[in-house]
Amino acid sequence: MTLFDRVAPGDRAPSALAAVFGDVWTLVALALALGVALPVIAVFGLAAIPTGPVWRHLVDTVLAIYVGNTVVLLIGVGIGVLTIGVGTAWLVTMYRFPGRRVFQVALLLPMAIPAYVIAYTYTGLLDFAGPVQSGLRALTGWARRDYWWPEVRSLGGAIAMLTLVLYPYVYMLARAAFLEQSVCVLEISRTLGRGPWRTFAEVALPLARPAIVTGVTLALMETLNDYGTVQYFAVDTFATGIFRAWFGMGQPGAAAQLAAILMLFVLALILAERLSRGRARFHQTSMRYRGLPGLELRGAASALAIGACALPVLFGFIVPATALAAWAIKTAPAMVDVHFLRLARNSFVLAAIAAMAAVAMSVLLAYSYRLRPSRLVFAANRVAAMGYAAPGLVVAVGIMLPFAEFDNRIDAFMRAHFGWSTGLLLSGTLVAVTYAYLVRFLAVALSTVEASLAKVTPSMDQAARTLGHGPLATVLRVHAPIMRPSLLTAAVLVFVDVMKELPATLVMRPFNFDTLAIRVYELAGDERLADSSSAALAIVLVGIVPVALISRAIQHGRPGNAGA
Amino acid sequence: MDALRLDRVSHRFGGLLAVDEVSLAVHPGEVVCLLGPSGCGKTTVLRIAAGLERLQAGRVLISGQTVADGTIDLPPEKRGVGLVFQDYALFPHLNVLDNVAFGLVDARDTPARKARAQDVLAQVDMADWAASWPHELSGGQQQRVALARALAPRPRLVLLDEPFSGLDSRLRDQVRDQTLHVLKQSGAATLMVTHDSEEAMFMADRIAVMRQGRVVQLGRPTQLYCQPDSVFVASFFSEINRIKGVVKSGSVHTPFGAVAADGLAEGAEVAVLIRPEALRLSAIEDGAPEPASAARVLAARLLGRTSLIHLCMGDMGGQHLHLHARMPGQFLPTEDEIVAVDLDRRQTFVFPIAETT
Repeated sequence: MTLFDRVAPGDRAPSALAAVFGDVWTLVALALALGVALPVIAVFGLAAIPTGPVWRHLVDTVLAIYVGNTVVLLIGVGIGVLTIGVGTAWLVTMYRFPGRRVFQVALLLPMAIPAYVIAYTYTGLLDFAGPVQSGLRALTGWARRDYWWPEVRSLGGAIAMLTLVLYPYVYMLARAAFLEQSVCVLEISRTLGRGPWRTFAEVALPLARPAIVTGVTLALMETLNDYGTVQYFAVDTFATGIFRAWFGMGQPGAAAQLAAILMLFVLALILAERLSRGRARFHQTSMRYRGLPGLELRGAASALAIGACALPVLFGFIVPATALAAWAIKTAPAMVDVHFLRLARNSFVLAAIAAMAAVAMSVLLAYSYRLRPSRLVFAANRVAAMGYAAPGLVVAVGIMLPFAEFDNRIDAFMRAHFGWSTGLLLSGTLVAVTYAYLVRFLAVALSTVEASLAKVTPSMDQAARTLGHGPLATVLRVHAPIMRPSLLTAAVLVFVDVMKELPATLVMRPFNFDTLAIRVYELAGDERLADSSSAALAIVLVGIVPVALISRAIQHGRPGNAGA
Repeated sequence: MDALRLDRVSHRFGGLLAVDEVSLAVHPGEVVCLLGPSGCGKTTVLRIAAGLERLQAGRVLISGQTVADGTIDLPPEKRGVGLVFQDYALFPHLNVLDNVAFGLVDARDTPARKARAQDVLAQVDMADWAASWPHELSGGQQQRVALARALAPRPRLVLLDEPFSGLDSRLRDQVRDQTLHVLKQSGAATLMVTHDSEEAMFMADRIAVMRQGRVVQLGRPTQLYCQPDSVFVASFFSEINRIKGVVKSGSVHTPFGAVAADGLAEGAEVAVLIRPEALRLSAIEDGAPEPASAARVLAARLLGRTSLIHLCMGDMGGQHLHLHARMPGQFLPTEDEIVAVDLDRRQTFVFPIAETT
């Protein structure tokens, strides 16, 4: 029995449509999945339209640079997040040293800072006129040419910036995987003659590999999604290339072709992740947990562990947040005005609309699968959850070009037949930009809602039904109370992601509809880094909310480890 | 030389004294069970022996060598013990053969390792599963692989932590039997932790009953069953009937007549513990003389090899006694029938009442 029906086979004659698609729930799931997939499909479709000499020109001039930079960026960020994420996760999970509990949460903090914000901030700090170099010159009396200084705005700088804010993905998943491992397995390895290091290398690490690979994949997807950092650092990648082809050269066709190649990178990443997992989707062989033993570190080892955990937090959060706060104190009186409040309101409205829509769609999808647990609906849900992999600019291309074409056709038709212009109906509206957010962030809400609905077991439904509650009463009195906190969490996660989002917003926002993120981008582009700090700080503060939510979830997520 | 020797081992978790001056020896080839309710400290003793828990007080010797005392504490990888957990903890990223070969660190050449692993797998009847993955195995098969993995490096001491409690009861008997044979064949000394008295009696040469961190009685299974020296031990091995009484002239009055109360003070309040099988029932033939003691049947149930009879016994100062009797085979008197009851005094124990608390 599912929640809503207990119709015996044969009670109801299935319509021809139902025979093919199941029924309404199946159709809803399929429609939503199609909606998410459409922009990506559109990108590949548009890319197939030949652009002739433009494409030839791109291939001859910049394509190799784009590919080269993108590959170096991916490798650099990959190595960076792997080292920092896995290393810190192992330290805080398996060892005891002063500050360990603080680090467990603090190591997530850099996630609150969007990559473009940290890039602007470090540029402000480290460039020639910034406080660091100025201080150095004042101290030593050196002049411009007297000393060597690394260029922040470079490919290496971009790798460093992205690594600093993206390693928490790996840290979070690796830590969860280490916590999930039964201590028994590690202890057995010890009794079979392996010391702590070899146990880590031969048991813990191989077991956590699928989670670590997923973490790195997520970080690399964010790297491919990034526009603000590479644009500001003048590192030519696909993101900047798409933007330039589309708006600089006025060649949307070429932009679509570049977007399609960027999407191929993403698909390659997804494929690599799946392949590396192979059959090794490890089933835990042991369900018994005990408080992790936590090897006590003393002296030099303890100091090293503290240092290793402190550096990513220091450079990934404390330094940039402090710098932003210091600048904001100076510039806020001038910058926080009516205009600023309007931007904040715009950000809030966009984020709130997208959050509510994403949660509503997630609920529909999750219930579709609960009520019609077929392969088809399962596939639809997975497709709907794939949108997060598509970079913001790819989504923007995939939505804006068809929408613009649609608007132009309608406009032309109306002008020809009725003599008045309809202007922009879809492109450049809140509908378009919200659509883009839903494609990108639906997965965030969906996974939260699915997990929450799974907690309402079918036997609970059946208990409620036998206790005299109809389907509606069951949903209201059993499902709703259980799911309410998770729906809120889902909404908050999407809300914050939208607040931080830059590339899609940049391209798709309605005319004159600026947000905080856009403001930061524009002021930074005008080299007014200090002036951008108020808006940037506001984004970072909002970004801390999901970090708090996540850290609470992993603190309580492990049986037998409520306090650790 | 003892395979394992614990000398006055104590262990605290925060304020809780989990292990209290436990001394114990396991001889080569012997199976010793630590038996007790959950939280009695038995698993902690096992973990201290393995080196998984740092020794706080006392001394641990393995094969005559001190592995932990106040100054040294060998890590688990240096102790050469085999360990099997309740949930087996097979390495999910290794197949069965590699799991078993994992501990063969000394054998440098791979063929020799594989051969040894294959040998041990054959001992536990799992040779055909060498290439399988842990998640493809049933619980019983996983248990056997875990045992093979522990035995592969030929440890002189094997530690088993509730190794059968993950199995359903039908499978458990079979796996238990096989495990005992494999352990005995290997010649290793075994220390096993369990909360199941029947399992302990099945496996053990000797049993150490633990309660609140202390070993309260140590001996062969028959000793513990037939000569328990406390209410706790007597009632841990089976369901047991309890009657209160007072010592008068060296014995206690019960509905079955006087029961000797040797060494107990005159006037002391005592508990008389009677194992259900100590109550022998028989039908009263018509015209037969009145039996010495009789009881009314409340219910009778066949439980397979034995029958359980609920009895109500006459009136002891206005109180009705509810007793359980167990008879071999099928013995099913009808409800309300009066049956004759004979008490087997060898399975009846008297303890001062202060101890029942």
